[in-house]
Amino acid sequence: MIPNVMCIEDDTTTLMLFEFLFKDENFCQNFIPVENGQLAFDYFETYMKNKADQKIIPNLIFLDLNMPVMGGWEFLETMENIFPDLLTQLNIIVLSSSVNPKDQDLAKENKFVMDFLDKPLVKDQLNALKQKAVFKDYFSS
Amino acid sequence: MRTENIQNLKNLSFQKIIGEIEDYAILLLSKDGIIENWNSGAEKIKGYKSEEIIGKSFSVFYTEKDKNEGKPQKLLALAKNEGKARDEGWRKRKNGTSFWASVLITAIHDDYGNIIGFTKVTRDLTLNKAEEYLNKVYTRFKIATDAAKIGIWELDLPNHILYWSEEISKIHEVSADFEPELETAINFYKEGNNRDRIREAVNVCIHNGTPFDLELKIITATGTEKWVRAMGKGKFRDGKIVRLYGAIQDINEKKLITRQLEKSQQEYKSLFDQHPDAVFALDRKGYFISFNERLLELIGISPEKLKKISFKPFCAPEDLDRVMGNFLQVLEGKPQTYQTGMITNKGKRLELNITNMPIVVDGEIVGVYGIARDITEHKKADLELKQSQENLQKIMDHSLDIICTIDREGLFKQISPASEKILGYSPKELVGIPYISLVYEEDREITTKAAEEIAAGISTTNFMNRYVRKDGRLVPIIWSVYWDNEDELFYCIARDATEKKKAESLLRESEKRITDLAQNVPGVVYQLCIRSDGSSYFTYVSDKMEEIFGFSTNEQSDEWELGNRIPDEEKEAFFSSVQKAVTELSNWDYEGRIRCGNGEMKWFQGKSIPLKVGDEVIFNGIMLDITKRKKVELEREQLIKELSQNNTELKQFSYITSHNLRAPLTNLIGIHQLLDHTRIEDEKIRRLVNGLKASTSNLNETLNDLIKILIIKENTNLTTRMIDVNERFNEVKNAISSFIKQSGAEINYNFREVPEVKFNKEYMDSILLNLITNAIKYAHPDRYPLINISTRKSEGKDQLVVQDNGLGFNMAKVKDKIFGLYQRFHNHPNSKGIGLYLVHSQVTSLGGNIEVTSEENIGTTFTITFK
Repeated sequence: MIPNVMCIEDDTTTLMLFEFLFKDENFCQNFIPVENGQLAFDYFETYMKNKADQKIIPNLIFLDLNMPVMGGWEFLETMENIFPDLLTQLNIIVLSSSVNPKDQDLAKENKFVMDFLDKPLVKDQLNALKQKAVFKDYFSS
Repeated sequence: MRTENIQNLKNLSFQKIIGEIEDYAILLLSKDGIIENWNSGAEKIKGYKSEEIIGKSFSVFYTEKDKNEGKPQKLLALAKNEGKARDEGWRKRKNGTSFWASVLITAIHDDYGNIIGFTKVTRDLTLNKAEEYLNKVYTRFKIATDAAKIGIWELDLPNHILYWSEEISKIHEVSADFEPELETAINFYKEGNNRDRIREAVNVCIHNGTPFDLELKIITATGTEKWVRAMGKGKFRDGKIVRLYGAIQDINEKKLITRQLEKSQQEYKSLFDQHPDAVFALDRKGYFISFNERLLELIGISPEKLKKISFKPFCAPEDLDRVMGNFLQVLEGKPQTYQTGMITNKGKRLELNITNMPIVVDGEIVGVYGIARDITEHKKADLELKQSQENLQKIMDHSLDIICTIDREGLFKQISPASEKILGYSPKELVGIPYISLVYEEDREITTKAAEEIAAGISTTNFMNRYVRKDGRLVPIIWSVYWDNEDELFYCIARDATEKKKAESLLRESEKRITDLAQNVPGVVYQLCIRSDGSSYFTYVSDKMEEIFGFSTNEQSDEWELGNRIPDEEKEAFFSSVQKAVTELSNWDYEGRIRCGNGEMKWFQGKSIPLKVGDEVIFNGIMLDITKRKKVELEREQLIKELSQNNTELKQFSYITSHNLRAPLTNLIGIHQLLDHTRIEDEKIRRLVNGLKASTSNLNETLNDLIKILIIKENTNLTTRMIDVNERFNEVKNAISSFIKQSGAEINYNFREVPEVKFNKEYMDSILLNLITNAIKYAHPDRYPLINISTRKSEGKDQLVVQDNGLGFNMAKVKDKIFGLYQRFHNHPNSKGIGLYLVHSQVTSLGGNIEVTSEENIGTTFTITFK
């Protein structure tokens, strides 16, 4: 299992579904829900200020694009501006129900984005992720 | 001794005595006058020796005249009858000189009284005779000298006293009593050469008696210059010159005549020498006596050689007999002119024109004069002239136009055979008749007038009139006429203008059509000329300019008013577009505004095709009023702008909408995935949840279809590559294999002709999927579906053809709607009316097209043509 997976998603139903799905599929040990980009940034800011705090760096982040207060693209931009080194350590997968082809293109172009997945996130997609080199070791036992 | 002497003397023969008498010529003549005896006196006086003369008749001593008159015979006869005959007269010596003889002839008789001979005694009385003669002669001489204007003079030497006769005074024009002295006499001679020569001659004569005979000029007392002949000789006495005597003759007249003669001789010689033709004189045998340079040039021979030969070797052999004949005619006094060939010394042949005339001296023909003119070039020119006349004749004979000459009276002189065709009359019929008689009555006046003007040199060389043909028809004739003053002839070319008139009327018609066209097209037709310096002028502008734009360009043709009517802000664009068309000679197409005559702004479109003509560029073009169209266009542009704006907003809206719809939908789907239906105990709830699940799935499908369309429309830069059609077909077939199996469909495929096409893979899958599923979905209820799928080449392009045997469409009804969105033509439960719309969108978005043919209850064929 992946130790820590963060989901930045404003829709609480979706968050709930993630939680159930991850549990059902034994995808992660620790699920960190964050409801928008600003809160996610705050999370990382706190971590950077006080590393002794319990805040931990997630091994995988699912990032939604359309969110109130701060959207996905804005979050990435802010992170790049303020904590670029931290950003490079993060494995970010954009997960969106956007049908605008522009978003897909942007995701492909963005060097901090690992992948773009369409909602809803389903079992098959998780299984595919488990096969990825980055996460493979977590599921080897 | 004396007796002995006498005896001796007596013994001397008589003959001996006579023989020694020297002062008399004593001879014995026979009865017939033959000399029998001769003495020394005869020898002395007459110069013959006895052996030369004995046996000859005594008449040898007489002059020819005396002999002819029979004087010797008469004297003998006289002596015979009278016994003796006396005579005095001139006789001739052996050496031919004359002497004055006194002759006595005495007859000698025999014993019977018969005459047996004569004695003849002759004395030389020349000296006596001379004196007497001189006196006689002097008188005659005086008469003669006076008549001959000869004066005589004498110069006594010791004293240098000069006498001269009256005649000399006359010659010198001095009075008769003029007393000349040697010096004054000499001074009459003209100073210089004349005087020096006389002085020298006189001095020499004084010195040694050398006679002189000079022709010199004197200046007379009255100052007249005249020629004289001055003669003189010395008189010797005892070896010394005692006096000079001589004569002076007035030879002025003679001299003048001589001079005149010399001059005229020179003139004749010049005529001979300088004559441009060869001139020569031949003797009676045809040998050259004299000739001029030109003859030498012509023959190419030296004068020395020519002098020794006759003309014959230079005569062309074939002409020789004829020339000889002519030569003989001339020798008979008949001048001849003829042509002959001549062979030069170098063997070249020349053609000569010869004139021969006799040379007459003292009434006798002594030779032949000749003048030879080289006409070789002339003959050549003659030949050429003949040739060109023949050519001209050919032209006349074959000309389609009538070529003719008409004299001053208006009569046809010569006319070419074309008259037959054009006028119906043969040349024979026309020659000699007045041309005006064939001119159509109405045209006679203008014709006469034209002819007068042409003859007067007022150049209306071309005019048209109508002729009446032989068959009575009228024929229009174009005349081209030239009047030749020298020949007094009209030279004319007459052309049948029937065709031309037709052509002219056609041309007029077509011109009218074009003008009508230009004036009636709904725009301005113009021709603009642009000079190399950029200035321009209209050469034609149709009336529509005034009508449409309310101004005309006629008044200021040199000013491009049009340019001034372009609003300032558009001027640069306007002129640069014109400039571009002019330099590149590319079609000009410009749209812009123009200020009309009434100040209103109108939109116009100017189009033209520039043509380079010399230095200028001609714009043939039209100018249209596009104000209305432009307004509509502007409105449309505005509308499109607004529409695109709306469209962008709508698209944005649709993204957001679909996102916002999808977000909860995905949650619903997620929920259903996680929901384990088997654990719902309550039957009713379970069925409701199932319904919820089905609806969610439907909603998702619909939304996905809509999103697909949205994405196709947006996604213009899809990647295309070569796609293996067979591979895509198999992929799709596998994906829906159970569906196909269930339907019992049979699918035939053949992609051999075009195994690969350039297209987008996902679209290809979608197209194949839609067309195959459609063919199965809308299969005919009476039969299993049969689907033929193939690729092919058509007009160089790749095609994919999908044919089925299904329900088909009523094409007449549905043609326009087949590929429309949400068009459903069959009442089929799964029909959403989106499949063909998608196929069409996918094909056309990549530059291809799709066509359909169909027949109800037979089947449908879709043909996709790739880009």
